Amino acid sequence: MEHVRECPDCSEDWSLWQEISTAAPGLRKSWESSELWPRIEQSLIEETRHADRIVRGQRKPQPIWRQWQALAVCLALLLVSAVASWIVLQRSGPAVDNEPGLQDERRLLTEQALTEIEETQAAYLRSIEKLSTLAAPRIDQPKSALLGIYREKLLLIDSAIEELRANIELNRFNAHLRNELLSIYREKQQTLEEVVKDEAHEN
Amino acid sequence: MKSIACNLMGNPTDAEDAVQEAFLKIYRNVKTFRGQSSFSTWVYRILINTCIDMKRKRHLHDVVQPSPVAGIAQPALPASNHPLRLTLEKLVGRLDARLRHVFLLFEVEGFKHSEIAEILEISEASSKHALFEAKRELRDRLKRSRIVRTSDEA
Repeated sequence: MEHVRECPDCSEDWSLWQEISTAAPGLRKSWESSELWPRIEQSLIEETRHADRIVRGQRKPQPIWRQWQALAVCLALLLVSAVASWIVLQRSGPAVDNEPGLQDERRLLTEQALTEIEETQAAYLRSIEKLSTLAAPRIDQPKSALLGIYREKLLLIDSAIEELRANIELNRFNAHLRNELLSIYREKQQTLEEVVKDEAHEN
Repeated sequence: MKSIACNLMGNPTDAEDAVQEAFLKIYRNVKTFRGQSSFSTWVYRILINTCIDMKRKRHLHDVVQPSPVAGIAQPALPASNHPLRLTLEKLVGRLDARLRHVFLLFEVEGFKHSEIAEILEISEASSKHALFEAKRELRDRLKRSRIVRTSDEA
């Protein structure tokens, strides 16, 4: 230090060295930047959203070939199960049909059901015939507007019966037509009963 | 953070961009912080690396430094030592990057050599040596500039 005090060059060097250290903190900068933190906050929010989108994107859309692959697997499974079912039916179906006892039983059941229906129809027809005999004088020559309406209704029912019978002739085992015919018979029976009852009330 | 970024980037606008970018990097990489150094030195390391990257990119793309944007206040200048501060600022800007970083962190920001060693990933001895080199270079340049000024005035 003695030399530094006495030597002008070294003294200057020392002084400059000290000045640098003294002046350096002045290089520290500070300024108001009210928009900086909101900017940082916004960019952090966007960054979070972007990361979320990436995570969701990784979960969600599958490549189109993978969707087709899944569809193809489903179709293949469907085809295999259909073929398997067909094979099972082919093996078991004819064996059942070929058994003469079962085949007869099936046919008998159908014919039995048909016979029962025809018996019911016959019962309705017998009832209708009796009621028609009773109601005939009033229906043929209606004395009131109500009887006139009954007459019209019975004519309509008869035409429907004719039509259904014609259809049944073409397809004897059609259960729907048979049911329709039965319900029309029931309707005709009720109508005739009402005509006969009206007559009884009048008397 | 703004101060060191401003000294490294050269203006407040770029400094704020660098600070913002550094925050994003910190957010992205916070899971990788293993506590081997203190969090503050880790943050400063990211900031300094961000500044270096940004300067390099701007240099590569030959982007003209933007002038300070309205709304961003200019750094406050210290009242005392103003001419010396300006000269020093200019001279620090001309220092080699390694020396400049050590000088700014030690003399301006007040970090210890152990902290600077962590931030810049160098040894403490290298940090001390770099500071000595930086100050010697600055002193020599200041000396030269004063000689030139004195001769100009004469």
